[in-house]
Amino acid sequence: MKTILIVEDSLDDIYFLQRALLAAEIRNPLQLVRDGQEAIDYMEGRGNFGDRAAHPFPAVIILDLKLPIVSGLEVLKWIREREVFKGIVISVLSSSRLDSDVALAHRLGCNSYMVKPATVEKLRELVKIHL
Amino acid sequence: MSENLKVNVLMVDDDESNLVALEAVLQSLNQNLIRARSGEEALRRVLEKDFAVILLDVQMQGMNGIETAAAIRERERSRHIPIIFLTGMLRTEEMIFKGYSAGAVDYLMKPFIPEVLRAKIDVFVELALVRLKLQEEIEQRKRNAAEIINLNMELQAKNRELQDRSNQLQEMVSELESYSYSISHDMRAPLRAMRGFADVLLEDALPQLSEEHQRYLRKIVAGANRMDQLIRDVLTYSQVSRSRLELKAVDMDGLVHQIIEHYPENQESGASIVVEGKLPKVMGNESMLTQCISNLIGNAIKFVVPGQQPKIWIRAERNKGKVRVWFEDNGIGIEPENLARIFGIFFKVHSMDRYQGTGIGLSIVQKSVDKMGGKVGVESDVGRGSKFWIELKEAA
Repeated sequence: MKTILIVEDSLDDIYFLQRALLAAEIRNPLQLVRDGQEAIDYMEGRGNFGDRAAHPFPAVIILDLKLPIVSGLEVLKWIREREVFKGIVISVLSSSRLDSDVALAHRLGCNSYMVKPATVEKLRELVKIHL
Repeated sequence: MSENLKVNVLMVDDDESNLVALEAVLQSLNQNLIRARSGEEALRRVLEKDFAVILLDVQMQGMNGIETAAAIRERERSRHIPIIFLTGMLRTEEMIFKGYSAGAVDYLMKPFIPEVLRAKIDVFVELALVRLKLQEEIEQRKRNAAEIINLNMELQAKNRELQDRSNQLQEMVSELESYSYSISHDMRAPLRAMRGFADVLLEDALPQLSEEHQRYLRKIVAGANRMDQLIRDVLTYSQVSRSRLELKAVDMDGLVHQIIEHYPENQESGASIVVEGKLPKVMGNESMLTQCISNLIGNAIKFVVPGQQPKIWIRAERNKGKVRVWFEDNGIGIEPENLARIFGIFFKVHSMDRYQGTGIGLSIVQKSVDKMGGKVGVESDVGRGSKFWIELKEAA
């Protein structure tokens, strides 16, 4: 089954997202990183993420925007600039409803934009379309 | 001050008794009478002082009157001083010619008649006094002008100060705005946690809870929702306040129909919304207008007598390049004393128990329309309904 990578620093939000995924009966294996730099390291298979068996390449990334160290928008841009990551589905999950954030995320190439908290319907839709 | 002004009168004669006699005649003019006993002394005096007039004896030892007058005329400082010759001689043509060309303005024959002498001197004294007063006035005007220039400079400095201060304040305000924006934004995270965990309890733990505790839990959820709406409205308001926008032609007709079709609360409420005719295009910002229109429609649906079907009529009026769009409802209406305050931020007419709201919706409408260079307004009959309007420039 395809892996979903969750990039989120808030433990509460991680818990709510896991619950919603469970409620949506999405049983794909989940991987978790807690800041933007970890997300980039994970994608490059650097450091702790060197073992691809333990840390498989994700098919879908659920990406928060307000992240420590490297922001979600920067992660998004970094991934979209690299040909090797083509085809990875990135869904932004942010608390920001700002038109400017939504527009920028789309311009940088996210596949969908969800406002927190993620609902069961939205998650089902995401998986149905992309997995 | 000019009343006390005195001018100088110079009397030149080599005979002391003549000077005494002149002084006796001129005393009553009440001016400064200065004596000179020779032409040379007279020249020294005119170097020291200004004189209104010079009385000059023609027949003097040493430098005679004609020579003295010529010397006085040669000097820049004394050139303009009128000279009256006093002479005991018969007036010969040659003498008069010499005297006038040396600068005399008049002749008096000795022995002179006191009244005539005094009257002639008085004329020159008056002239000099007038000149002095004029000079004083000119000085005063110059001082006034200088003062005005000074005041102007002070004003300009004050203006600059004010401008600086206003710039500083503007900066502070925008700093505060972005500060309050990020605080409001950050407040949503703990709120989401409260709401989320309350939901978890509602989903997982309901059977273990007494009915009373279940009610409390629902109150937590309702409170969190209200708080979320409040923060969202504050964010929208501050976003509207901070945005600098470009005005574009907006298809009001399409926008209004789209909002009516797509806003779920419009469907749920069973409201009847009628758009009369085709609404003209206006100059505005589409997302701001969307916010305004949905706030106005939302209010019209919300503020009805419970159980009554909300009815809304939307129509436009064109007048001199402006478009006024009316949103008329059959709601509860607004008391006249509240009409003026209804657009103020956080102003609410009703308690939370009767009508939910944050008191920001109409502030957002006003701020947005203001940003788009337009106006808002309302007319209302209590118990019959309200008519809100927004007015914007018509798009060409």
